[in-house]
Amino acid sequence: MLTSIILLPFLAALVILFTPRNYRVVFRGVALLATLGSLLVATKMFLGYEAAEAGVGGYKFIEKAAWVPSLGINYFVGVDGINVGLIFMGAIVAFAAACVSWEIKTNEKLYYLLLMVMTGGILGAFASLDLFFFYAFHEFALIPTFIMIGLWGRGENKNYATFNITLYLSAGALIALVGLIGLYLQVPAAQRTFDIVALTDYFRANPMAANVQHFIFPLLMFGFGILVSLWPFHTWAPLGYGAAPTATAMLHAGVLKKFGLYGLIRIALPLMPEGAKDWLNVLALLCLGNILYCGWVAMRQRDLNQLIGNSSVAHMGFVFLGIASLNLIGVTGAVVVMIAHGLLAALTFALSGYIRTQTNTLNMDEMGGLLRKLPFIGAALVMAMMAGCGLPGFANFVGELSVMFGAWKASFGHAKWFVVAAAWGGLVIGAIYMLRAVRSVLHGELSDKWNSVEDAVLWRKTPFVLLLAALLAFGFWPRLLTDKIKPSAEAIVKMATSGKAVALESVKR
Amino acid sequence: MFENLQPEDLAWLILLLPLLSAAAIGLFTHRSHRLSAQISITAVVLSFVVSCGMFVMFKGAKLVLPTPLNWLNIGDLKVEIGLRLDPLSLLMLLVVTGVGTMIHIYSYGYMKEDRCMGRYFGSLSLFMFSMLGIVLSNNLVMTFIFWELVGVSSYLLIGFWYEKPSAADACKKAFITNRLGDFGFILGIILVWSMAKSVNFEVVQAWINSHPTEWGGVAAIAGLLIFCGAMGKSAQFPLHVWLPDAMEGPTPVSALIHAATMVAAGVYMLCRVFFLFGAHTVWPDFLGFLNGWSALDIIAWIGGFTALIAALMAVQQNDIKRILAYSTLSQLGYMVMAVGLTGPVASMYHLTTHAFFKALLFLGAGSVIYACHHEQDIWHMGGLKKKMPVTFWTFLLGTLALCGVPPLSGFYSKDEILATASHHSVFLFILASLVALLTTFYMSRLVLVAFFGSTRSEHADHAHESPKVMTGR
Amino acid sequence: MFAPFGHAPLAALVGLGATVFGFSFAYSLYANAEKDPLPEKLGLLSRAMRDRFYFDEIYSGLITITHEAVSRLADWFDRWIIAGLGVRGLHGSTEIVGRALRLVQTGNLQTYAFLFVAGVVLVLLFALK
Repeated sequence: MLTSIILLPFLAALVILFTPRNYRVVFRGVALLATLGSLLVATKMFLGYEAAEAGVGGYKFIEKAAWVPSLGINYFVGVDGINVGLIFMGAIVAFAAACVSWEIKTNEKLYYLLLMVMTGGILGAFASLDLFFFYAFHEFALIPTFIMIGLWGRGENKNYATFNITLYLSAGALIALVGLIGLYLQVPAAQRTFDIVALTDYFRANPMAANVQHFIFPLLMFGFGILVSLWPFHTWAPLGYGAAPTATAMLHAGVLKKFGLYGLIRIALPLMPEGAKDWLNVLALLCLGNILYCGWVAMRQRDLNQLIGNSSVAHMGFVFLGIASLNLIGVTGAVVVMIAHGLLAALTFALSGYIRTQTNTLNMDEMGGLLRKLPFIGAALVMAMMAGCGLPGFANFVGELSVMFGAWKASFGHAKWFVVAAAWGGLVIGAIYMLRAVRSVLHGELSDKWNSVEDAVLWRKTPFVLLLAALLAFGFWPRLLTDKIKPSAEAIVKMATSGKAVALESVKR
Repeated sequence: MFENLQPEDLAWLILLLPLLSAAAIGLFTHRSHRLSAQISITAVVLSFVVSCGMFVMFKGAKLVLPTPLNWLNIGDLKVEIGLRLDPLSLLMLLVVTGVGTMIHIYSYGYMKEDRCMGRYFGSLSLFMFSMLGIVLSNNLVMTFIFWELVGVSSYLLIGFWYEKPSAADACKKAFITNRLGDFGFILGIILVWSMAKSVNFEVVQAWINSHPTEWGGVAAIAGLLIFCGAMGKSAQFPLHVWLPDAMEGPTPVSALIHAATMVAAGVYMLCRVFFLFGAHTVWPDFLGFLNGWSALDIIAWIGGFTALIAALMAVQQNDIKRILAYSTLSQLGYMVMAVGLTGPVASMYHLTTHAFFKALLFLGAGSVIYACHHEQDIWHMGGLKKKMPVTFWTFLLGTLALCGVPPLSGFYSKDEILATASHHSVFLFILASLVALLTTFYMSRLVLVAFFGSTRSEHADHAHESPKVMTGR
Repeated sequence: MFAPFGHAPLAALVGLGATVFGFSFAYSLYANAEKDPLPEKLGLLSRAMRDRFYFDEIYSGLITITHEAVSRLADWFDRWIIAGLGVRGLHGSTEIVGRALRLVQTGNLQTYAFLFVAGVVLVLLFALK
């Protein structure tokens, strides 16, 4: 089941590769079909998750095949409560991204080819339970990102943005890689494995030495952190998303970015509880940079994409805070924010992309009164902005609320003040910049130059409706997510907080 | 699923009908004016009927809890979406659905020529849903959820004529000011939860009653933080600035949301969490400068101060809706002061009577504005008594009630508050009396200038009575 | 109907008195008035009342010196310190940036991507040895 979700986009890429370059309908059709297929299978998996039988390590829908036995590399995929939602969200965003790709008019063959490779890579990275594939799939998704921004990007800063995002993300990925290799080498040569489940079991039985954890954890934390635009390594994000083609921004900001967070939750926390204990204080401090500082930066942006990009960085702060609080409520909330923000980021970038095709600008000072011309897109943008400032009814609220409750109970120093800051950032600063954007883009008098602006026709509404529906469904009935996440988060939190006890045991031994 | 249905579970209908109406209008019928209006009006009338039924069935009962939904359940964080029927919520239900029904019907006339009537009724239904959610909620997080939804529906309705820059600015200001209050509100909720391990009113109350002394200070801080939310919604000083600007919305909206129901939500919630203030207050060290003041004293003085400055502001306004808006501010201050003076009953009494007579005044003002072709300056009116007698007499009745002339309802409710004040604090009693004097002064000024004297503009000269759906003739 | 006078006579009488006085004042000032006499009588106070005691102005001033200022500062810091010095500075000189940019411009990103993957594989192989 998981294999077909991952394989469909790759197969589509193959088909596109062997199709002559002027068959543009085929590219688009194949891409839409493949992502739709992935989405349908992912939906079936998401809905059937509770009923499915659990296999090794509590994972479900496991598929495993030997690949390079001599190195212990297996193709090994499976889901638990944490990545099942992420894959479902990724499949929704991928389909939406394929839908909005109608705006691309040049070199479509290469574009759709890269889009499909990126989609397959993203879905594969979240499904993999083998360290090698986990990382390789991520690279498969990352490289098309750079190329797409470089070739189809927009704006005067395009080249600088491409350079910036490439530099940062490659550096982040490399630092994380060094950390992962270090982790791998901690296992005695005879038992070495890339199997995440086996690694987890091994380190549960034989905890890593505390001083080693102290070195490896920050490598993962900063490496993955850079991939998620952790403050102060965040400047690539608004810049890159501002220049990226719509679909790339949706897929990266929505899904691929969450890879770093997923890596932190899946690998760093449970395998290195001692490291976590030492370093999560730092993470908590830095996340304030995301929540407050990037919120303030967002307040000053006059370009819609820059504003959305900065707000997306700010939202990541909530995930970091949830992870740093290291308790069930916080981590569950963090995963909910990841999923909710994925849908929301995709939605907002899709909307701004649509507006740009109509107005050829995203400068908010030039816009105004567009709601008159764009009743559907405008209404969707208002809803997205409201979701972005944590309005109940959307999934983001559930996540942010749980993170605040969780962080209140956290053990790091002055945790309660962090909650105060997070509430200020989410409720007040978020509302200020989101509503300012609505005021400048949609409200006010309509200028004559926008008379030719047209609202989305029926079939172009599909991606927006789909993303909004998912946000609302999870917002109205959050237990669709939390009931799945909770048991898995509980297991991870249990391992991550066992640090002290385990360390004592190993000393005794 | 339905085998265990109890009669009280019908209360869910009160909440669901406006939601269904909002969803149906938003998704399908918003292009059709008539149909949207009919759906929305039907929903609110049915809600009103069910509310009356609930009131009759359970008016003697102390507390009825229809079957709740388990909405969120992560570790210690358990949140229900559950309803709570007790005398307080039953009374408020009648106020909200009663005034709501009247205003939905009135809107049908007032908004007839607007090209976005579908959007208007959709937002109105969303508002009814959210407001009824606050009224029926049985826990703090659910209250917060609907609290935010009320904020957003008010945002949508204030900014209904979004092309007018003043309206677009006003809705933004209203939402952000409310968010400042909600910032305190959510922290208060978290504090309550960390103390009592629950957000359910029933459980928290029992918990506070069993630990009266050691948690008294924390409960009072939590109460004050939650009061921040009430300061936002009920526009208390220093978060009062958004309410006068909110008059940029259509007049029926001002009547329903910014006079009768939403702005009263803060007062309602204070009465709901009144138990937090029951324990005697011992402030922690960093709040040592507050020693000698209880949390309720602070609330009473904020309410009193708001009542006074708003009444003073009202004296020198010339826009008919703004005069009423400042009057609302002032009366809300009155109610908040009453809660602070340990008189939640007096406060709720005044809330109820105020909801009706202030909505009546706004509807009268709307009728005047409609007749004078959207002229709102009272100095450009004059002599309207002869032109629109029905509006005049109803407006006069509302004015007399607001001024506290017996035997109208306003006299009794205001008297309750004055009596409460006279028992507790001489200063606040004098202040409240002064506000009562100012209230009569500015309302008399409004009536004398707008309805008597000579006509002072062409619009006022050509004014004639509003359509029947608005006056009910 | 007269119950309030029974149980709280003071409050009821004062309330009623306030109403009567309020109306008398209003009547003496506004019966058949053509314009508001109060601004002349009260002067500045009337102006302050009309202008809502300047709360809106005070608040917008407060917001300007707090949130707006912080936001300006953060934006400046972001542009010139973190993005500017951080990225460009770390890289040594703008000359290298220029070269890298040219690499991108010539459409040679594929080459770059290939090199990147090759590097990753090399590191992996080295580590596994």
